[in-house]
Amino acid sequence: MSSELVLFYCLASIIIVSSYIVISLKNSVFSILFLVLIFLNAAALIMMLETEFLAILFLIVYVGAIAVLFLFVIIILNVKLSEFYYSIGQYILIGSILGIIFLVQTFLILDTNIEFHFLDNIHNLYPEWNFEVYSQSNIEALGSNLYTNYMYVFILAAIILLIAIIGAIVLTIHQRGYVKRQNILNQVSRDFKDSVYYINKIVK
Amino acid sequence: MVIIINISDIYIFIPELYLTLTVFILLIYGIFYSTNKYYGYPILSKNFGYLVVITFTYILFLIINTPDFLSTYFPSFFFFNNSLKWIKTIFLLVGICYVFLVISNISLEKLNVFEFFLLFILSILSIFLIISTFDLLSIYISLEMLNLIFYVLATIRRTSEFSTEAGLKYFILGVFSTGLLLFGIALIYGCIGITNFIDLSLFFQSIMKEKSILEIPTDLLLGLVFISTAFFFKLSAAPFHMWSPDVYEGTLTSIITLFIIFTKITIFFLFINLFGTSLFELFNVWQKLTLICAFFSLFLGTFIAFAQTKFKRFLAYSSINHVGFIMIAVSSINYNGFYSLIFYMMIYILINLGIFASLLSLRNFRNYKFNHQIRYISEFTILSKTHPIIAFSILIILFSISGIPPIAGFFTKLIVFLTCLKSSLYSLVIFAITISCLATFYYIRIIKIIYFDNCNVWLIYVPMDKSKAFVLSFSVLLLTFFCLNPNLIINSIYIISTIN
Amino acid sequence: MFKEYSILLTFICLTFLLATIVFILSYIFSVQKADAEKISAYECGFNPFDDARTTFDIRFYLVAILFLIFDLEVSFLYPWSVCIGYLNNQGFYVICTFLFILTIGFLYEWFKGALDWE
Repeated sequence: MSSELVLFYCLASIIIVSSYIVISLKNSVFSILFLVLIFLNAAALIMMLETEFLAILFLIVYVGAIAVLFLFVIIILNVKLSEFYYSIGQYILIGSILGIIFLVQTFLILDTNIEFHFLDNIHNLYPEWNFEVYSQSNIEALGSNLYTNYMYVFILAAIILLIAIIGAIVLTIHQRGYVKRQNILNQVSRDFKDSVYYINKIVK
Repeated sequence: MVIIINISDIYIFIPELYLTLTVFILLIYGIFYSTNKYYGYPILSKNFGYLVVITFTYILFLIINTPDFLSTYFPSFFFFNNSLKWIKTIFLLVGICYVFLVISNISLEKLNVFEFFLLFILSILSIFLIISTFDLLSIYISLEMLNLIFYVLATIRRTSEFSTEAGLKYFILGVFSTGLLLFGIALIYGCIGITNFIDLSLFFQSIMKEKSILEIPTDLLLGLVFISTAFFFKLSAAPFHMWSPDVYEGTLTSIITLFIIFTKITIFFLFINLFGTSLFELFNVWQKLTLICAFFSLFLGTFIAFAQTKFKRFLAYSSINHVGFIMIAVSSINYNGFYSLIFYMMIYILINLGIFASLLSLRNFRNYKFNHQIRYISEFTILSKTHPIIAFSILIILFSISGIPPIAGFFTKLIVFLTCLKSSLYSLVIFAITISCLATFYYIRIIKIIYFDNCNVWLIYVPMDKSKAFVLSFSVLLLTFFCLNPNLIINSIYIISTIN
Repeated sequence: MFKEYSILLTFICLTFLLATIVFILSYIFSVQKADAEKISAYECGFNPFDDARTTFDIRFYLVAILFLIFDLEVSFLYPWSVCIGYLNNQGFYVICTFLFILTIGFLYEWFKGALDWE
């Protein structure tokens, strides 16, 4: 019963329990907070796989941007309490049948002798200097592959981000015309000589 | 580090590079002109439409003159084939026809965003990248690109709640299916560590020599099931078809042509690339999946369409029916099935171009401000007296869908059935023939509504404009006179299917 | 074995424990006599006329989405900045292409007015 196994089971059980809480709470903001808990635990699990860049990226992108977007949606929709109330009784039979089928399939398919390879060397009290010095950290391993071997998908990811920008602006921009804005360029490029000029007009 | 790409990669990639650069230049041109006070904030949507046509002719020129290579590029993410050349040509021609169909509806629907055609060019780019993909990771990325564009296009009419609801449904279910795709890819990668198609095909060939199917690790089979489920989701094949009637009904008709024509053809090509070349050894596994989906698609597509009263939902179920037929062709792919598949897809494109040319032109004209798309099938009623030629075109196209000779649709179904018989799927053929006979009922019911129904209040439609008339006549004439000289289409299909 | 981050785990656990203790203590030791009048919203002594929240501007959401996109761009830049030492010219030109594509997106949103706030 090594510490990694205990840690894995703790984090995984918190994730499963939190995911049930997310879908069953009536208060939407609370369920988003439990979603954030799920993300944090998932990031901790990823960090156990020795890919720390991916874990921090999870925190930055998922918690820092996506959970924030979820909260924005809830604020925009002004959801107080979930008014959608359904009785669990009409779904419990078919839900449990499907859930049991899925669970049985999972256990049939995955071998029960799953080996957790990150649990090797549990008695290793001394650092392996060979491994520490001559291996790449997670960021270096990602970088050395992403920009050379996987260059094609990297540029495609840039185009996807461009499409996301275009899509977000097409769908949400609301240009209200006739708003008087300052045009700094016009203001700064005013010339004194052009500010007053003579109109040749004969007034009778 | 060694330089990974060399000049031949970029040489093959030139049409896509040109397309990307055109997108950038058009984007810059669009924003600098449409937000310019001096020019009076012009609305550039139709302008972009014509620019798209010019771009496509240039790219057509580039693609036709590509020399014939056969290899994989960009460390095997991207492959090029002679048949890909002609497939891309067909996509570009269909794209030009699409622009002709839609260009006058843009001003009628008051869709004043210039990004509409920009997103269309980007979707053609992503389609090119999807059909030439050769790695599981780049399947995901390029498919996500296409999906993202279509999510935006589905809700581009953002003032209509109906349209945004349909777009939201499409988005959520599309993202869910992409999640299934990723899960399948992750399972395959986690089991064998291979994502490239060449390596996958070598792996499966060596595995199948020694072991039987029962000894393949179940993670692989599960991954295959998830990936094919994701593809069936996108194709709206039953039993994953639930989103398509709602989405097709809610979004604008101009955009539904894009969905119906381009998505299905692209994903079928992707399906053939993945399952036909790399996972071909597991043919017995995925053939069963395709057969089940074909059975359900034919069944559900026919029987639910009986109850439809709205035209776009009817078209959605009709396209589910078509998908069922194409899946029959896919499941018999080891015996010359490829030929029947491409043939069916060509005629499918022609049918849909024709149907949408007539549907897009039927706008109920009350006064110059209120012209809206017809919604119900019963609004077709006096079409034979007010627009006899459109009525006749719809007649030809409906005959083609239901497979009545001598219209081209009959020959496609014939060839699909013959290849299916050759790979000894007898009961499926009998079932499909019975289903087509049943389906003929509601196609002929529409013809009855057009020609033989009377009503008291006649609807006036906006007259059809030249570009739509061109596409409509092109498709109807090709469908009608296909039987007289089939060489026009058959030769191109032969080139595509045999060079592969 | 990832021993270096175990101290982070201890830290997080202790923080969580401390926050929970403070929360539970304040819940236990506070006097709670909730009354309907005490909990309801206060609006100068009157009953509340309307909901306290105003309509939400969509510009906040657009800002959040654009932040997400440029955050992803920066997160693509992190591994590049570590590895640029041994990626030769190709690494440089790849990131140039990437940044060029996203600069075009930036120009698009600038001139569309997504960065203005009235």
